[in-house]
This record gives sequence, C-alpha cells and structure tokens, in this order.
Amino acid sequence: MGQPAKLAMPVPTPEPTPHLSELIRRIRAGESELFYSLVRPHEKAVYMAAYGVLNNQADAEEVAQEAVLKAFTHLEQFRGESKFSTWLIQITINEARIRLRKDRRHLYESVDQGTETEEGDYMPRDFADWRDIPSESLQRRELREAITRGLASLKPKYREVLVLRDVQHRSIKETAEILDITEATVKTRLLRARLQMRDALAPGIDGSWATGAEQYKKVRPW
Amino acid sequence: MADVHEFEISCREVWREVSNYLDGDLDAKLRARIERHLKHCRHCTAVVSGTANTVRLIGDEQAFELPASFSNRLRGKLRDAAAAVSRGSITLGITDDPIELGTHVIHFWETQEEFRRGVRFLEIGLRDRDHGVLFGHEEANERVLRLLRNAGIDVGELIASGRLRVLPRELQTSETLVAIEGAFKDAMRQNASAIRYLGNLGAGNRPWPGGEDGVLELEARVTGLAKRFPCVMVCMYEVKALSGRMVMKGGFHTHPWVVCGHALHANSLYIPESQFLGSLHI
Repeated sequence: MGQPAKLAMPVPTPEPTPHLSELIRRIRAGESELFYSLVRPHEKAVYMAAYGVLNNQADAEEVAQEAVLKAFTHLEQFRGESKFSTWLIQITINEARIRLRKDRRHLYESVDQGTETEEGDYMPRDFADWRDIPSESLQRRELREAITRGLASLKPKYREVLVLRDVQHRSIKETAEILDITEATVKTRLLRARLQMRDALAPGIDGSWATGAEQYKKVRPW
Repeated sequence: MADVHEFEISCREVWREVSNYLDGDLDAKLRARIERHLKHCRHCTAVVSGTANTVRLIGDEQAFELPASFSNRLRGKLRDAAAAVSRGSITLGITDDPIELGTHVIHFWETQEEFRRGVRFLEIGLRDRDHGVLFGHEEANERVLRLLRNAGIDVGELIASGRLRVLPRELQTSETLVAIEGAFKDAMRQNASAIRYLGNLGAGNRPWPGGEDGVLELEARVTGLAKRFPCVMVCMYEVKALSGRMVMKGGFHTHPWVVCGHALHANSLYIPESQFLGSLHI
C-alpha cells in the first residue's frame, strides 16, 4: 500500500529562544505590555488545549484567558527548565481540569461509543477504504464540523492527548510532560483516540468528503 | 478478516500497533510483519490508511479555528492586567489573583477551609509589609486572630506596632465608617504602601446594631472609601448565617469584585453606590 515510514508532520514553529529570555527579563522589569508578544505565537495552542479538555468554545476561551493571565502574574515562577509553551500549556490544562471538575456537565455528556474487545482493545467500527482527502476539503464546513463532532465524541482523557499530539504536533515526550502521565499512557490513549476519530469521520471515509457524494457505503467485514 | 497463521500477526495485533506504526515507533521486525499483513488484508489497510488520513486532517492548520476576535479579547484582558500592575496591586491570597488597590471584594464562605482562605488574605500581607485592619464581631475577630497565630504570625507584636488594627463591631453605620477611615489614616501616617481590610459578617453573631439596612448602607459607602486609599477591602459573608436579601444586596449589589469557590470575578451584579443607596430610601 506504499505506506510512508512516518507521518509527514508539519514542523512545529520554533520558539524564538534567542529573544525569549530577554523578553521575559523586560516583562519582569515592568514592561508588562510586552507579555502579549510572548503569548501570541501560542494563543491558538492555549485555546485548543483548553478546548481539548472542556469541549466547549465559550468555556475554552474563558479558561484560555484565565491561563494566560495566570502565566502573566506568575511569570517569576517560569524557570526555563521547560519550553515557555510547555509551561503555558501545563497551566492551561490545569485550569481547564479545575473548570471541568467544578462543572460536572461532562459526566452526562460522554458519547464515547467505542467498541472494545475482551482485552480492552478498541475495535474499529468501519472498514471502508479511505481515499486521500485533499487539504482543500477542509474549507468545507461539513468536514470541519465532522472533525469537531468526532473530537467531542472522545472522552476528555483521549481528547486532550489527541489535541496535544496530533493537532499541535507535540512529541510523545512533551505530551506526557504536559499531562503528567507516562509516555506509555500517552501512546495507549493516542491509539484509542486516533482509531475513534477515524470511525467518527467514517461517513466521509468512502470519499464523500472529497467527491461530494451524499451516499455513504458502510463496509463491515462481518 | 485475515488469518493469523497466514500473515504471522492477527488483525487485532495490527490495530493495537496502528498508532505506533504511523509514528514510526516500532522495531523493524514488527514493522515488517505488519507490512506483510497489510499486503494481504484490505480491512487493516483501510484502518491504517484511514487513521493516517485522520491524523493528517486534524493536524492541518485549517481544521480548527480560533473564535472570531479571540486575540482582541485576550489582548484587552492582558492590557487591563498590565494596567492594574502599573496602578499598584497586591496578591489577593484567597485566590492567587492580583487585585488592584482601591477595591472592595466579597468572599462568600461556608466551610472551614473557605474561612481559612479568607484569613489568608490578611496573613500574606502581614508576612510582607502591608498593614491590616480587622473588623467584625468579637467571635469572628478572635477566630481570625487565632488562625493568624496558628500560621506563625506574631499578632501581639503587630497590634502593638500599629500594623494590625482590630475594630469591634459595636457602632452604628456612620460611626463605623469613621472608625475604619481613622484606621486607614493611621496606617497612612505609618507610611503603609498597602492596607488589607478584612470584615466579617455572620458566623452566629448577634444582630447588627443598625439592622440589615445599616449593613447595606455601610457596604455601599465602603466601596467609595476604598477608592481613596491604597487598600483592598474584603468582606467575608457566611452564607449559611445570612438571609437571601443580605447575600443578594449586601454581597452582590455592593461589591465590585466577588470570590466564588477558587476564582475571583468582576461582579456584573454590582450597583454603583448612589444608585444603590437611592434604592434603600436612606
């Protein structure tokens, strides 16, 4: 099938390390207005990290703002032991989890419909062949909405891993560091999240996202 | 489904490794077994290629968008926070939030832990160089002082030096306002850079001398008083001991800032002093 050895991941935007320490020094010295320039390259990542936990646009924006303000008021606690973005996303995930615990809606919202084997493995629900969908298809609202619905169908623990690893292109190691879990746990959750996302996009797997066909032909091997 | 003997590895084993396979995180032997399996199993090929495409799509910059004007709103929040820092702010202590000097905050409490966090507002300032003013009925004041002592604060020394002033709740509203302002002026004469005022209402106390309306008037006027000093005034309300009217009018209508749970919020229910007092017919 000519599968590439590795997924061609977009290269993450490099951190402006030569200027970062100088920027932080100036902010700490009182130039508070510079903080936004420190945060700006990561604002989408902050929002998506919050969204990954909360699965709600308004809550994610509010928590993203709170997390950025917290980073601003606690900048002296950033020791440079990790990347600034890792520290910022850790704060965001913590704030989002606090919000999730307070707002217990998620307990009633889980629509995780995974099929599991006796050993606890996730069973793919559909075996339709997937044609390569061009990136331009993402300009179609239906596809973006299907992706959002798919993400919403995951339990928070799978969703947050998928967002950090596949939406934000962070390494397994960094994802584990941010979530304070082991790399093995990241891999286990990532497998489940990816397979479930694939199933969630199944109505388009037979090519309808690319061709515009309305009929979806499910393929079941049994 | 492919037969396990024919391809050395079962479909389930392939599904278990899909993610690692796509990430190139497999040893060469297992990778080769999977690839041999894929050559003959169209279902697993569909799963692997579909998952690869899923990962590619959700990783595309266009898959998720920031809400409209997200950046502008974030910038605005940061601008406000930066302005508060330049005007002078202190850490609230009840939460980790900074709070601008000249403000009046309500902290609703129900549990011992929430009461203790309220006292932390005074504690962290007294450990530093801030001045403190404690106001309330005797039982509440004693409880606050006991917690401060337990936290290792030398209460006696602070009272003797004038950095901590304790005001009993015995007076009418106008006299109470004069007493609080007097305590603030004394602190300013001692070059206080920040004054932390902690007031208590509830906790099984006797009725307020001026009745509920007396408390409401005091609360509304205190907001104006706070603006004239480098102070933060925190009122602690025991929600179980107070009427709904006091919680609504005394708590929500007269304090521009509110602590609920673990977060500080700008209070959208706040009513400016003159408007509020007008509604009380005082």
